[in-house]
Amino acid sequence: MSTLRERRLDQSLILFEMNLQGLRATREMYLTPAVKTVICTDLRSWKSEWDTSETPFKQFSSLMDRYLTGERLNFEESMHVMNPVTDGIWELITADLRIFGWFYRKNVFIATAINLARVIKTHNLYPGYKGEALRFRENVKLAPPKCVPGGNINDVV
Amino acid sequence: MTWFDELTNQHEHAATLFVGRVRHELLKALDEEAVKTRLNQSKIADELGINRSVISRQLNGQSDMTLSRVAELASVMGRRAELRLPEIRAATAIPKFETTASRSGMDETPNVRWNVGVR
Repeated sequence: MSTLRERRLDQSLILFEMNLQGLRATREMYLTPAVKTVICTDLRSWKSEWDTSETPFKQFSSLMDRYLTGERLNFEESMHVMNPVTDGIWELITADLRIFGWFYRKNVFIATAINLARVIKTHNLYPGYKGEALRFRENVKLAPPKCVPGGNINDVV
Repeated sequence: MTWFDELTNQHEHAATLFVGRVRHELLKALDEEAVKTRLNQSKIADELGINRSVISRQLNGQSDMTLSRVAELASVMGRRAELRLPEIRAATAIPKFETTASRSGMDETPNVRWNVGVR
């Protein structure tokens, strides 16, 4: 089988859910097990490099709140498509975090990596994370088309 | 409660979402004013007598902002920042949250509503 439900059952993808304080989710976010592990083990301890009380963990919560509840994401640099845009690999962005993945369908994001922007820039990890997303997408059993192509934000959210 | 919710406590989580939603409402209002009146961060900074980078960092989450700054930003945009704290109806209520500007899809029986909007 090649559905998201099947991938949830075999635990190759994990549906991300959180308390939205009374609002309902209108978009979906799936994580690889590796991303869930980082969220559970590392994200809470990461520090912001900015003069803010919003830790990377809080930034992640806020970004997920806006994403899941269907808020606009196209005017505050919360998303960025990587080059070449034909690959359809996107970054979700906060002040300190970068989340890599792709849109399986409009409003359905599959995250394959998350890390601090400072670490990614210092060690030039962008190509590696993009390649990781492409490889995962190629290997995961999902019904085609596996990706919303292109870099038009209105096609993905 | 999901596995992610277990990584934090509900009060901290409520505060996190509140701060994020306030910032988001300000950004949405600025985006609307940019279309209507060509307002931008430089003009806001000039109006408030502060450096544009301060406004930029506060709006993109790289710096905290005070409640006073929220009201100042709203005022420059010709709007009023508004916060309402309705009475809790049930002792066992789990706080619910709503922003007034564009939220929809609330649970049908919220016990508590926080309302903040930039109007």
